[in-house]
Amino acid sequence: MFRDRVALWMYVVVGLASLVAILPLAWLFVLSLDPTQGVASTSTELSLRNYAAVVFDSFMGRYLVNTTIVAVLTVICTLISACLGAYAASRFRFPGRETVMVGLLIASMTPVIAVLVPLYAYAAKLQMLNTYHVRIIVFTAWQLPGTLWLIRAFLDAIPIELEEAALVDGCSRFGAFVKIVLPLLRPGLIAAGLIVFVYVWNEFIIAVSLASKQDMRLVSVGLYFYLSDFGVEWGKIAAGAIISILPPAILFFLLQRHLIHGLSAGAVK
Amino acid sequence: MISLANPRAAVACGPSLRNLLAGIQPYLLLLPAIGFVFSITIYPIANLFYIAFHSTNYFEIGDWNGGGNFAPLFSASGAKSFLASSTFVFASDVLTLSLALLLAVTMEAPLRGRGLLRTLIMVPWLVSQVVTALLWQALLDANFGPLTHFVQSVFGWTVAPLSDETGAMVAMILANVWRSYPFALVLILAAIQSIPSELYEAARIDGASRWAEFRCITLPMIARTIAVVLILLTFEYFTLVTLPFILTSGGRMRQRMYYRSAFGGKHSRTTILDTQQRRAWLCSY
Repeated sequence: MFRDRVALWMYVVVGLASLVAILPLAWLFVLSLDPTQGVASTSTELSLRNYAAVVFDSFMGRYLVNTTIVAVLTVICTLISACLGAYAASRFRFPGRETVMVGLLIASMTPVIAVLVPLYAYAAKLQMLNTYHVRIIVFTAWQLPGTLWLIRAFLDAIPIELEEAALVDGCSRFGAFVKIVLPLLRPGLIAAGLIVFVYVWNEFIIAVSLASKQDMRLVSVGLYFYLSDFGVEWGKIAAGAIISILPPAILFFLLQRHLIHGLSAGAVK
Repeated sequence: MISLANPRAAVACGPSLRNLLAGIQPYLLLLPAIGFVFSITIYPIANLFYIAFHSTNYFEIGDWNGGGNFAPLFSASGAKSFLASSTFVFASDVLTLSLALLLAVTMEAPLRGRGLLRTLIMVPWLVSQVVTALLWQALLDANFGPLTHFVQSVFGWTVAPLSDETGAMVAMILANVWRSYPFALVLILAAIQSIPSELYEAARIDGASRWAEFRCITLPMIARTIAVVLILLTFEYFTLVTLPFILTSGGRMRQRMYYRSAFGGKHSRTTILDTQQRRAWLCSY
């Protein structure tokens, strides 16, 4: 009897928490279907007119393509550099190892806004404003330290004996990494990749500073400018917001098992 | 399992060319990571120190200016910004941590459907600060926002949260906690799940209450994780720009956040540049 009541209370607490998490977004979805901008809250008419306006009469498609290009390339750059570095930190013992690792971690705690002005000045000097690669480089640098530590935690958990056995059997070091370590590292790579993807997808300050042209904007920036482009038309803004949430949400639901495992394995240690 | 990397370190000790190559191998592997981070964070910060002590005119850097650039930080508006930031960070920290802790303790028990609920609770983590700000702006809208309606019909208060200073602060804290508690929850939940169950079994045999279990086992075992999460959150909140920037914009009350004013439209472009540099300088340390 006692246990049942406790379980009931637990359901109440967790259920309320999930409602708090989901309800605002559900309301946003309803708002996006309401052609009257939610002002006349009595109307029950639902239509996809807002979505049509966002998809056909705005740059949304372009923003989504831009963001996908930048996000995917950032994930690839980050994962490759992080794997190389994490392999060194996990499998070699060399002077300065912990200094480098801790130094990278401290560097990653710099507030974005602190380096924004110098970064903007460099990008302007190098004629790299409004390009994909400048944002890919900056995002990669920003996400590398965390990813490096996460992948290192995963690598440390893979027994080195497996690689040694492959080396004894005549495999090269690189071969052992590709054939033995990479498959075992897959959950870690997926978790790290998803974190980086969501970060790039949602980043605003760097994205808004380093690209001013409309056709080079990323999705979060484009969404912000809806306020000025459409005025305060909540239906369209809501539709744009829902569209912008979809790609990371789909990836998350496909990969969430790895993500939660990855976050717990890497960050707590 | 005695030592992970010792055999290789031994190989790298001799003086031959082969061994020298083996010796620098780890540095070569770390080179891309160091290169990225150095050029995008460490070098610009060094540059920032230089700019912070010089007068500026757009991107032209003039003469040595001593501490002159820092003066506005110690003015009344600087103090007000700092106070606003501190309130925001402190309230967000307290609310996020206690919410995450409560949920983590609850979700640790083997409930049916726990996986699904956990997934749902994680969703706000996916939502960008831009969308979070727009969403809460709409939720708290004085005319049609459901939260304002709710408060009005239940308590009979007429509120317009985004039109005065206190209201804007409450709105920012609410939106921020909504956005960030899932992440804290996952980290704390992982720490709780790694506590050996023998400890709880022993406590139960000794007749400990649930509260005693929480206070004497769970809390001490996850204290380190809580400290780490607290540090991460505080760092994040203090440097948060996008959420307050958008949530309080749009012709409504402009809440003066620490960074917010650095971005605001009141200053000329030059002022924006060097205020920002000064602030940035101060905030990094």
